[in-house]
Amino acid sequence: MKSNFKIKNSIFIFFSFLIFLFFFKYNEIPKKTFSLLTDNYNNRMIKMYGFCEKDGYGFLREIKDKYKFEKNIKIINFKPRPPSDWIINKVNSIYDDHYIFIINYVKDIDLTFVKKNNFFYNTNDYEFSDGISKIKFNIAKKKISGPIKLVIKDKNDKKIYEKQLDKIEDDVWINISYKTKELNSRWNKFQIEIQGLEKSDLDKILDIKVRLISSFNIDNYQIIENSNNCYLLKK
Amino acid sequence: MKEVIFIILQNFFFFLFFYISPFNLILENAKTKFSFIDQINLNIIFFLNILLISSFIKINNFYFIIFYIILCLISLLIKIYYKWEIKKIDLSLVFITLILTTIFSIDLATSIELSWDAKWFWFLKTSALYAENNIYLLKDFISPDYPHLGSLAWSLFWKYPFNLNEYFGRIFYIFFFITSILSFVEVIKVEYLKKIFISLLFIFLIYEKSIFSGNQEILVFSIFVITLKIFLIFMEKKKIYSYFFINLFIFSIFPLAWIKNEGFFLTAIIIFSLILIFYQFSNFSNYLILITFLIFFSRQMFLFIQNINLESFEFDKTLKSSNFENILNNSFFIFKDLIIYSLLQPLIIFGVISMLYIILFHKFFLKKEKLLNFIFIFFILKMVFIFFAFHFSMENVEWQSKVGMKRVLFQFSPIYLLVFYYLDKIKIFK
Repeated sequence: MKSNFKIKNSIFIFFSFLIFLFFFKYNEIPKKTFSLLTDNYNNRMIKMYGFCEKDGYGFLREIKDKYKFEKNIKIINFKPRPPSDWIINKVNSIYDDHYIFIINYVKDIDLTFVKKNNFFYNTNDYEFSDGISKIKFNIAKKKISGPIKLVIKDKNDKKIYEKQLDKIEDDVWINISYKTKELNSRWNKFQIEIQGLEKSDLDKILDIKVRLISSFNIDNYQIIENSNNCYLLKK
Repeated sequence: MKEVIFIILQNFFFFLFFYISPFNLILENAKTKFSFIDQINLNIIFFLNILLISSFIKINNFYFIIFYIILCLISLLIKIYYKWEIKKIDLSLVFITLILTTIFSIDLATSIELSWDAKWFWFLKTSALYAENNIYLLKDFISPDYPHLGSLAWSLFWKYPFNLNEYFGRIFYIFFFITSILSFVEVIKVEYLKKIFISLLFIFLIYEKSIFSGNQEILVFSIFVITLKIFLIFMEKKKIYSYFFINLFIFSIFPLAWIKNEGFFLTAIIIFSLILIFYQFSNFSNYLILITFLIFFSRQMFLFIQNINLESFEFDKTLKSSNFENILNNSFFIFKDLIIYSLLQPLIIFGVISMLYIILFHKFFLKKEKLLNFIFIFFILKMVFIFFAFHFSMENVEWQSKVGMKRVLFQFSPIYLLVFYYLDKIKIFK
């Protein structure tokens, strides 16, 4: 590319305008440069990956720096996110079985199913459950009488669980206690089918909550460190 | 303040590092002349090849850099001794590149985000290689069948020259992306300022934060752009059958298969498109087939020696008859995502519209233009690959297509730059 220093003003103005637009629309460069000057790398990482939310970056770094673990520590994030190992763990290092990090811990993990075309589909996911604890219906009236058959299926239409119900009541938990790991997922869609109801009654069901049995009960561990919903636990 | 200064210095370092490459001895003595920015890009590709070889023989990062700098200095001394002309630096291009790379680097430094895949394996590979340049340690790690060259480059430039934060390694991806586009646009025969304007247009249209979020597609994209540039340089000079071209071409696509698994298929598609166009020249075709086989063989040997299976793929599930029963359903998901994610990428929208224009108004079927045939054959093979890859790589085709389609399309999208070149050739912009 041969330089041509006889620059035509109009093109130059156009060029400058384009750069300005780019600055303005995409990058907000002055603001970002200022943020680079005022925020250090660690603060920016915490803003991006959370202290005790998202990937738990701040909590994991702080505890790692405090205890200076030589081995890797297993990390369980209750939110469906990529494993947080990249923050503190090393490839090919062995894991210390005595400790465990829990990020975004919730005691009661509820899958919410909302209606689409007469079926109910989950809007959130969990990876660490051992089964179904109970189910609750959110209905636009007090109760709907049965007999009603509730079927939970995976995306390939494979039946995971089914139950006959005499009636369903608004905001009342129905005990289930069924062991399965098939509802553990990062992204899969599950389906609840309600059989035996008239369309008018089916339309009254707004959403369904399925409470899962958590694989982890922190009461079984010794809490070494805790900040909000993040824990360092010892067996 | 320190971080901003180091970002600018890191970009200066890239210019210097890739300007004084020992590969210049070959490029500057070739009959075909390369521009300043071409040379920078070809030196990057040369560097990637050397880096790949060094990784097989486990050379320590530090010794590798020292070895490379010594090679650079020796080549410089040879040039001075023989009084060979040293390539002039195009200051205006250096200035534009530095402005753009600094802007994008600041954007990267503030958003800093790693993608899902980057967190899951690319960054872990990178941090392992940052600690120790030993690719053989990666075999017991998640997705060992994923190639390592991109992570290796990321880890190296994270450590050198400043050893600050991981994103300094990713600035290399930005540098390569911008210089590759600047290099490609040189083939368009317009005034200098218009070229700059077109380059900026392409860069702004293609740029989005996610392409530098640690995924490797941007490296595949940039290498593909340079490969196309080499192809055009030699095609314009009617030297496509020269061994210098073939060797340079092969040399530039070789790193693709070591950056992403799709890179091998991209290599195969490029080569087979070329063979179909230039099939009458049997030596040329035979040589290209042999090279494709060698690239495939080298990659498979590497996996075989280390006893690594293709565990990221679910062939055991996808090749079952139940998967074939869903073929229509799955094809619908793939086709839907193909349309949606194509519409999200301006370069693809532009390319497809232009291709339609060429077919409808430029009597495509009556013309026997090799370049046009290359574009269309590549396009067809790309489509075949996309349908096969998404059908058979993972059992959950719908999910795989949803999360992967955009990135696969992005890797293949430089082909549409050729459409732009063709439009310029038929003087559509005049």
